[in-house]
Amino acid sequence: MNKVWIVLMVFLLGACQTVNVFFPEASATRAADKIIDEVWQPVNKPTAKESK
Amino acid sequence: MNLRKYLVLFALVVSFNACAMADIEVNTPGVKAVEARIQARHAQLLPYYSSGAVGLNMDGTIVLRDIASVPLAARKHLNALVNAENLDRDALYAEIANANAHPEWQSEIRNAFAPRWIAHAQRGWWVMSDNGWIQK
Repeated sequence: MNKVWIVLMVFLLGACQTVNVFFPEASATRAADKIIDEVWQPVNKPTAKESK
Repeated sequence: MNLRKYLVLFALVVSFNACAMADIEVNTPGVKAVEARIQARHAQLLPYYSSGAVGLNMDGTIVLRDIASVPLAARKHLNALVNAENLDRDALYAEIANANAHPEWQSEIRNAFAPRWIAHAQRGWWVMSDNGWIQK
């Protein structure tokens, strides 16, 4: 019984490394939103108000 | 026996949570430096986005789409601005890829950014679509 758990843990930890090799798409999109907000916001905000 | 099982299960859950949080790292001095350059340039580019002289491409770059609308005297400067902006955006994608120890992610990061630039564009700006230029 214990052996099964150990094998499962090793397998999941291995899968974990595989996951990290893949590109974290959702996290990248969030990072993009945050950065674009930052680099555009100071100037964008007043302009957005004017256009209202 | 039972306690041991729970301990192992606990370790499993903890380790799995740790790897599920594979977040993109963007808080490095290199990334911040490029961000600051893009931010500083934005004030100069903004009137050209609004006038439609400059549009947002689908590949995460910007492009001069209506040079005729720009006074002759300003064209050279605008050209340099657009080139510098595109170089910095590439530098931004490269810096983020490096910050995450995956330099090969640069093109994926560009692909993640490209639709977001367009999504954040203000009303009135010109953005490229599958059917050509459209005004937001």
